[in-house]
Amino acid sequence: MATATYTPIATQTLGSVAASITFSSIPGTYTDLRLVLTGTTSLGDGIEIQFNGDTATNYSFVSLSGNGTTASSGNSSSQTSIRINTQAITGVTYADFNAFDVFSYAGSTNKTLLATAVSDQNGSGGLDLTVGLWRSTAAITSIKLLMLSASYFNTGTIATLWGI
Amino acid sequence: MANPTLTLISSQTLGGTTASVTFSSIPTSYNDLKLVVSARGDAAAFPVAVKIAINGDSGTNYSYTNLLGNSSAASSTRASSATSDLIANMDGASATASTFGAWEIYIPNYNSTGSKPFFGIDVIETNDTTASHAEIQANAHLYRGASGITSIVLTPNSGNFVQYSNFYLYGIKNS
Repeated sequence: MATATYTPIATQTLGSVAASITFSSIPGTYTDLRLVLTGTTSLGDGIEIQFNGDTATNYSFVSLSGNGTTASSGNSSSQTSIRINTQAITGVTYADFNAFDVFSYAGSTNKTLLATAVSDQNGSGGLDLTVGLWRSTAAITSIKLLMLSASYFNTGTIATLWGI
Repeated sequence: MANPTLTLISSQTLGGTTASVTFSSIPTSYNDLKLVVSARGDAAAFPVAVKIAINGDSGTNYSYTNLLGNSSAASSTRASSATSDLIANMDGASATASTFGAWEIYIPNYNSTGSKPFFGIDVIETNDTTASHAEIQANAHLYRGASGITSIVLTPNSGNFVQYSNFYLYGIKNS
């Protein structure tokens, strides 16, 4: 039988509001990473993700979005972060679900991310699928999630990082 | 180091035509659930939608927003305050023989007593040149029930599941 997977690396449950959530000292012993976040935000806005503290313009991304009425797609290059779910996080009644899959995170090639962000609010909300690229050959040892603008993660938000 | 935590809770491989598939007595010992399905229906429609009922709840506690690409167009629609949730699509009787739809549904914090958002993605590819006879669909789901999830019932919107449809329910821990 194949070896089981989904090994928990760390989990954080916010006891108070936070402008960012960071996972550091990520071991290089897995093939892929999966980060799942559920919760709400204060103002409603997108999430940014950065690796290894890199704030240079080494990120790019393309997204596919649906808001219950229309489907759309967009992209950005040479950014200081990968921005996801720019429409899905609404900061309203019901929690959002966000999953970030980082492939070959410990390898020596540039790193690809697939982000899934969903927020159905029983009559509003939407979902975004985002593919991001971090142009670095360094192994990923830390991941930082932060909010666009002045929003923050609300108390009770849960973030878990697994090694796959 | 923590232990791996993707654990198979239950699986079903259908031996014949079946009206619905039920996972009951889902243990509370995990944090998240993952449902992986390969399924086909016997209704003539294409695609055949499948609905999910959680904890036997038939109240207006379900909503979803979808994002669909069907080889000719992309679209997004939603339903709110529905009595069931269209969880995914699958091949029907008019699809290429022996082709099955594939889904993955991820439900975080399924023991929560609050509303539960979750995500699903389903795909159909039939090697069929007919427009719209292939699709990829992503769904944002919200179940506004106030109890942890202990049972899941999957039912085709029309017809039945066919033989060899597979259903796997996994539990995932975060520590």
